[in-house]
Parts: sequence; C-alpha cells; structure tokens
Amino acid sequence: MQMTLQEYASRFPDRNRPVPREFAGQWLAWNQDCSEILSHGADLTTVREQAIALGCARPVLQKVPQAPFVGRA
Amino acid sequence: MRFDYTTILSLAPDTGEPIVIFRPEIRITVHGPQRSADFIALVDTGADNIIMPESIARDLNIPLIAGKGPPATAFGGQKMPLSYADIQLEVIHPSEMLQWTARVYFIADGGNGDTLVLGHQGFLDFFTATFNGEDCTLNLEPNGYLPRIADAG
Repeated sequence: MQMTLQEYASRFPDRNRPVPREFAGQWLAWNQDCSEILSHGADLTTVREQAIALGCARPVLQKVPQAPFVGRA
Repeated sequence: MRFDYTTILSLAPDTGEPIVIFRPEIRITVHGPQRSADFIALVDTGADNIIMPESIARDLNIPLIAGKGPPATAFGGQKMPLSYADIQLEVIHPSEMLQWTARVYFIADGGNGDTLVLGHQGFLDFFTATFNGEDCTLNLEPNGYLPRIADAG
C-alpha cells in the first residue's frame, strides 16, 4: 500500500506520522508509544544510549530501510 | 492481536513524488543473556527464517555460532554468510504477551536490507497471519505450534 501524505492523513488521522525520509538507513529510538523520535544515527548502541540519557528507560528501536524495500539486495 | 502497519515517507519509484509506504511491522522484545530491548520488525512471508543485523547481537551480548551451511541468498542473488543463536523473543501487544525461544540468524551490518525480518521458521509458523491491505493492519493469532514459555495475556 502506498499513498500521498494527504491521503494518509485523511484515511488514518489517528495514526502516528510516517518516518521522515532523511532517516532512511539509520537506527531510530522511539519513545514507548512510538509517537516521538528520541535519537537516531548509524550505531545501534549509541542511539539506544542517547534515548536512555533523554529519560526513556526502554526505547523502541527501529532500523529504517532504504525505501522502496525489495528484499535484501 | 491486531497491529497497524508502520509507515515511512519515500519517493515513488515511477513519479519521484513523495509517498507514504506501509509496512506490516510489529514490536518485539529480543532477550539477551543479561538484558533485553524492544525493536520494530518486519513480518515477511517471503523470508524462510528470522533475520537480524549482527549489531543487535553485539548490543545485547548474544553469543553467536557461525553457520556451517551455505550462505543465505537474498533477493537479487546476493550471498550472505549467517551466524545464529537460540534466543527468547516476545511479541508486544496490549492484549497479550507471548514469549518463546527461536533460532535467529544474524547477518553482518551494512547494505540496504539489514532490518529485522520475521520469516516462517521461528515466527510465522506459530501464527495465523492476516494481512488486511484495506485497513493496513496485520492480525496475528497464535496457533497450537507456538512453544510459548510465558503468557501474560
């Protein structure tokens, strides 16, 4: 499924905003409800520790793919 | 257990215009010997196994065993040597908490596709999965094969 940001905001107004493009290829650390990106970067451990230092004891970690994702090529 | 697809912003490969891409991803906990961490992982019916980047094993101090078999073949033919470990995984959902031990394969970091992938062995084999393209949701119901070691639901 793909759609414009306007269509997304209209169809799914209660869902979190999509991950911005500039984070492609990076690790992200989200807060517990995944509504806010706390830290980001190339190194998982650094990103996790930065999020903890910001007060989130247990961040949710995500590796953002280089979209469009077509497998492990 | 119903999960909303996650979304990322990208550019359409045909028009180059900004688009929202939906992905059937869920939150899981990966347990290491001393501590655990929560991750967002892609549920992938095209993957035979659970695959994670080696940086997760390093971060959680998970000892890895070098695979003796052939390397995995990715979409496009790329060969990837694998190591593995048997580790505890947990699905995070408000209605239910499921935990089991699965063999997880790890690939070296780098490249385009080093996200967490939940394939058939160790994950999809244990669930009835319904991908709802209209609502952009994934429904997972555990089946009798799930070797659960905890259920807080």
